[in-house]
Amino acid sequence: MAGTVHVMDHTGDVGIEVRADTREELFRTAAVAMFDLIADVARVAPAREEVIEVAEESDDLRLRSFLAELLYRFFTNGMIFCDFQVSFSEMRLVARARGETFEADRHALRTELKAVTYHGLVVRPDGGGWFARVIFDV
Amino acid sequence: METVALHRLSDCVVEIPKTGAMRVPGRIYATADIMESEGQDESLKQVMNVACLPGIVGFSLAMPDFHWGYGFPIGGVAAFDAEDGVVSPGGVGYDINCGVRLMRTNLTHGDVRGRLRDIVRQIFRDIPAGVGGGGSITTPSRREADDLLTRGAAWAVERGFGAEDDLQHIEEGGRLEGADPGAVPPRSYERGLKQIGSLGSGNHFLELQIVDEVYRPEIARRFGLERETLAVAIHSGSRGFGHQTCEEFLSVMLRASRAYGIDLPDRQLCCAPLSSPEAKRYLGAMFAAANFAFVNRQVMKGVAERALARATGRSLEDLGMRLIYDVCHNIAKFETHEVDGRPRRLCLHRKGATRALPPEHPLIPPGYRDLGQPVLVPGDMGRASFLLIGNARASKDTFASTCHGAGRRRSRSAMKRALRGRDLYREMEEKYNVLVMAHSRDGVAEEMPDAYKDVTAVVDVMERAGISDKVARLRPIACIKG
Repeated sequence: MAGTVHVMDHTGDVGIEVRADTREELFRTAAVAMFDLIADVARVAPAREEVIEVAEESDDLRLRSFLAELLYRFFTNGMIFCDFQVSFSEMRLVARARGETFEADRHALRTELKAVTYHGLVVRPDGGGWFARVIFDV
Repeated sequence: METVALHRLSDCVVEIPKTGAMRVPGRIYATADIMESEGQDESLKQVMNVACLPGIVGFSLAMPDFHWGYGFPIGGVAAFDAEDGVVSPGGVGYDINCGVRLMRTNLTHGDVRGRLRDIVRQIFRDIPAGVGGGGSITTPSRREADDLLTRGAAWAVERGFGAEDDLQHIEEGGRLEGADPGAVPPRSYERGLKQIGSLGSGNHFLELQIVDEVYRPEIARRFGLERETLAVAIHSGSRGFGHQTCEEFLSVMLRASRAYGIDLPDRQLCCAPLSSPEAKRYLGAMFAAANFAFVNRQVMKGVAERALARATGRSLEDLGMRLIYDVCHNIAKFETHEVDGRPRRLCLHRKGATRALPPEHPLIPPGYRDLGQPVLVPGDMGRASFLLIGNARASKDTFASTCHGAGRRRSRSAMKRALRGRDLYREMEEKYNVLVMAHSRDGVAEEMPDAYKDVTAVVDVMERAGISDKVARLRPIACIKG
């Protein structure tokens, strides 16, 4: 089952609200949604895989650090990702992220996200599923 | 959320009385009209949250262009006692030393009217813009980087970008004292060092502007401006270098806040006592990133100057491009201002606000000292931007701070939804007479004039409050975006 994404109207910046059945799906959906703000993820091929590990004490901080790490790789290695496999073991998150080298024209560049903020950050179980809210600095 | 109690002090100033954990009252510079459209609970709540931080002095301030930010409101000003206060990376923002500079030229509108497209194309080619990407100079070595992070704009001038005289026309002389390249996280170098001399995206721009209204002709003339003068404005900051520095230090400060027992109403307000090792490291790194931004804007000035000379077939001397001033509007630094009638050393945070020193202040360059500090307030890309000067009350009432822009009215996603399928470049030319060149169409949609408040209303509040006076209005004729 795929999660759902709502893009929030934050005056200065942009946020996402994500719902999913499982925590793994929540993280995966949030990551796809972030890259879909940057460019058209539908045009990205899962050509190369990178492994990402994050250790944080809570789910909200884990999600924020996960997204921040992906964003860092976008800016340094020029990787845009479209597909994720996420697993958890205690404090750690391990993700296999697949994507390819970013090309502004081919991937239909949309918006530069500078950072993943802590403001209004939420990850919580919600009615049998999971809910997350993340606000990005644009 | 409960309704915020407001107490109007004058037609331009509203106070939020101290309640709950607030250590000082909040003060918002806004007319009733601005409060009605912008005074949402979220942004007022953010003014109140900042008022809860340890060591805050006087008031938690918001300028008339304030709006909902993350942590601090955009348009927020907070002063902390230099001994007992804190520093908060969220009070500076990700784009450390984002700022604006304004250059005058010997050209007039008539000199460029027929060949505007060629001129803009030349600048668009020469100055990289848009998401990520490289800069307009060879990426410096790590040793060179340490030198530029310590010395700021002077480093760029030595390499032929702009003139020696520019330095005195930059806030803090284009160099913040106390930068510590060793405190800068390695990831900042990795992400941002290659981006020197690049504009970035979002609301950053390079504009060609025409002076179309002069309010104080004597002062405008001293700045080299008359009606019809062509000016160049650059709005940019520390790029990925600053963003990553803020990112890395937020987690340091979250731990520090806990260690020092600071209650945070919002995690993005995490901070550390100025006397702590965490604060000292952050300040060293943040000042280095601020110097990076000064270098970035100085390099772009040099590149734009050459591009403009080439495209108009003039020598640099004929072109006469001179820096009027360069201001920081996302920064924290030590300044001394009058509090309760006595000078006090403060760690001043301006998150979307501009320093506005009153006449005769020693930090104003000698050539302008009798006038007050020039303040640059960019508006939206269709209407106008303003050149102001700091007024006498600024240092008493607002820690010498004023507004920094028009302030956003509509969200980025709302703009994109509303403008889907429209030819925005043509609209900008036909409706506003502005030639726009950009790397991202979505970026243009987010930045269309409708997204912003009317900057005139914003600068008028600060003039009526006696904080800063209008000198000239500049209308864009061309705008380069990321």
